[in-house]
Amino acid sequence: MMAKKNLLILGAGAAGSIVANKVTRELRNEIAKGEFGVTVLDKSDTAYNPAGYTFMPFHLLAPEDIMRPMKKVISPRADAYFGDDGEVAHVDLGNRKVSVKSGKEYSYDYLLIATGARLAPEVVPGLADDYNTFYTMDGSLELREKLNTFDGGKIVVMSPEMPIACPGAPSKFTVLLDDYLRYVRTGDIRDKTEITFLWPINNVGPPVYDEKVISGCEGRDVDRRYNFKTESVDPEAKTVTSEDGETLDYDLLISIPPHRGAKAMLDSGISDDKGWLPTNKYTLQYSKSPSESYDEVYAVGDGGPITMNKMGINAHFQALKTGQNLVNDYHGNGVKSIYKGEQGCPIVESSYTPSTDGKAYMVTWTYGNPAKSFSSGKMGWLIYRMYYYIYFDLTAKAIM
Amino acid sequence: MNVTEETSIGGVTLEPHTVESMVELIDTFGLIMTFLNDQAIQDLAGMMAQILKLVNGLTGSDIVDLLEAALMDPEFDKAMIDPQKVGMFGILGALGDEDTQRGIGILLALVKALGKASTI
Repeated sequence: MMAKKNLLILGAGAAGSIVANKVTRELRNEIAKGEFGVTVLDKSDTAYNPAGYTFMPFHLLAPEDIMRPMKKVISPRADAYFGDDGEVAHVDLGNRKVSVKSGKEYSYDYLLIATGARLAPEVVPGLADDYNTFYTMDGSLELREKLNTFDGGKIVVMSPEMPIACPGAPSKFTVLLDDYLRYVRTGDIRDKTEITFLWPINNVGPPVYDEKVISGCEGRDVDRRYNFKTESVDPEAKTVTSEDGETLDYDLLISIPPHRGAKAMLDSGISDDKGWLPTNKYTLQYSKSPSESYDEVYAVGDGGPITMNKMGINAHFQALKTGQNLVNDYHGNGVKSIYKGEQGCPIVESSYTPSTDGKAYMVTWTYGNPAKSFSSGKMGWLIYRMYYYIYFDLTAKAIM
Repeated sequence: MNVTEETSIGGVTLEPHTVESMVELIDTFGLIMTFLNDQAIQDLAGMMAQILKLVNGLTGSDIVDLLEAALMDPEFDKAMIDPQKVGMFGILGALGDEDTQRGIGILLALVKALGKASTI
């Protein structure tokens, strides 16, 4: 019998679960014969689809729609460890070893790092003391309660810095918020509310995407401020101040906090100074410098380089191709499936309310092919909605 | 509907009967769309999720290859035309056959896996 080879997967979010399910399916016979093994580590024993958090404050999704026990998502062909046995503490690429919070150590022949991004509200002074976000499950549910009883005032939707996961989500949220206050809460709530959208750079997405964001804000009477880099929040005075010294007041601050790579990557000295992992943009293999490159190590999903967009569609395509490359590496066939920068972001132009149809579109592009012009529609919205209900059985299980 | 003239779209010429079919298709799709809303999509997606589980199980296992070969076995063809009447002693006799023993092995492995899966 040949010596057993091991793939170790750090993180079982979208990217990690797709790779785990694809590789275990493709190499099931090798696993059954004891020639190959896949081990998955994650601190959580519950799988989430964070893209759905944007919809929860508006009663468009329930928590159970976007969460599953991890054991129902990860193939039983993989050995999976959660909690302290799955929380990565240190990665030693030179010696091919990973240690976890419990002190346990795992070795590997192939490594997939899919530890994602973490939210860092503490980066902006004052933000943690008035922190309302739809970027977490709990935060999204708390916002639902606040918006249920909101009786007018100034709402500021703020993103202090890039990169963030799903950069289209804040503008999408703003559209859903406007329609919710206008058509679901009814009465004169929307008339009594000012909505301000603060964005730290001069575009949300590609030009064709941005056109819709700009016209959407204008049509909805949303005060859109591009290049507003929030420097601090004063929770007592209820104000946000930009790096340029401009101060805005608010009654309800909804924020998308700064993002950072996983702390264990930073602590292990294998990332940049914010925790993002350096990779080859086409092969997604770890490559910090010519002398610190490891062909047996791949990094995919939100934890990748700061220069790569952090969106679910990217993670999806990166994971499918990396899964194939890991199978190819095991067989030693020399074939490399190239990641062409397949990425995209759904745009929402109208919500599903008693007075309106939902309207959406999935805008996609690659490294070399810019996004093409499009029209949002009801079908786009329905397909987008359907995606959330079948995500765990279609995407996470690497069927498509 | 009676389309009498051919139509050109992006340099492609469409015959009148093709245009009629396309219009009917679009009208039918429009009709379906009026019945679709968020609740219908949620219900439909719930059913799709169950089917996808089946797709994953079948395409991610060698059982389909095994079933394909077994269903095309000439002996199985014969049994479909003229099945043997098997009693208790026939079953006991068949248990001595190696192929039957392997088949039972597969079924027992499936039974054990079902039991294990029920604890997840």
